[in-house]
Amino acid sequence: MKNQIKVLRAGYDWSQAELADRIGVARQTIIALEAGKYAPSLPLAFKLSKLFGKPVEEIFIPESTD
Amino acid sequence: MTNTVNPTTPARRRFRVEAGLLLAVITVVIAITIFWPWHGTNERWRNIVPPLVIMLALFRFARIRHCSEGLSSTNPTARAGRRYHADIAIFITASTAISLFWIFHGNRGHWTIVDALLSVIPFVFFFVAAVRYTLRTDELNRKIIVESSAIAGGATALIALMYSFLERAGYPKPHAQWAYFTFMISFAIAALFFRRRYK
Repeated sequence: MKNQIKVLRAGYDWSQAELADRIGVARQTIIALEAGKYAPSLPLAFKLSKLFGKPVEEIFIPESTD
Repeated sequence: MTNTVNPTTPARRRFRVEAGLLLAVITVVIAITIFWPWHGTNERWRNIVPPLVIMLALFRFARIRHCSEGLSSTNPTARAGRRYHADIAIFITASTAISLFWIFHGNRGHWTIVDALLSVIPFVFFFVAAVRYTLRTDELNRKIIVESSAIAGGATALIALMYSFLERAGYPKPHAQWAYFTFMISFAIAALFFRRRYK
C-alpha cells in the first residue's frame, strides 16, 4: 500500500522521530510505513489522518494487489 | 529551514561503544574461564567469578540502554523499553542471587526440589517482563514479536519432534532446558528476519 506520509511529514518539516513521538510509535514504524512495507492498523491510520488533517483515503492509496 | 542536532545521536554512539565493550568483556571472561589455570585455586571461584563479571557487564549495558532511550522523549515505545530493561535488571539480580545460593547451598537433601524450583522464579520475572513489553510496545514491534514467537514455537516443536526420532535411533537424551534455548535462538533468528522484512 502506497502512502503520502513522507510528503506530508516533509510539509510540516518534522523528522521521522518527531512524527513517531507525535503518534506514539517507534521510529522504525515510521520507516516501515514510509517505505510501504507495513500497512498500519485502523487506529494508527486515523491518528495519522487527524494529525495531518486529511482523510485516510488521501493518505493511503491501495495498490491493485491490495 | 531549522538546523537541529539530533539529541539521541551521542547517546546512540555511547550505546554502541558500550555494546562493543560488553562483547569484549564477555569474550575475555569466556577466554579466561577456558584458559586460566584454575587447578590449584579454589574451583568454586571458577563457578562464581565469570558469571558474576558477565552479570555486572550486563547490568552496565542495561543501564546505558535505559539512559539512551531516556533521551528520546515521551514515546510510549521507549517507555515500554525502559520498563522492560528495569524488569530485566530484576531478572539478572534474581538469577545471580539464586545461582550463588545454588552454588553454596545446593543439594540439601529433601530440600533439593525446592532449591531446584527456586531457579524458575527469575524466569517468571523474565516472562512477565516480556509479556508486559509486548503489550505496551507499538504495533509494528508487537507484530514482529508475535510473528517471531509463532515461528519460534513451531520450530521448537519441530526440532523436538525430530530429535525424539533421533533419540530412538540411539542419540543421547538432551537436557530439557534445551527446549528453552532452542526457542530463544529460533526467536532471535525469526525476529532478525522480520525486522529486515519491515525495513
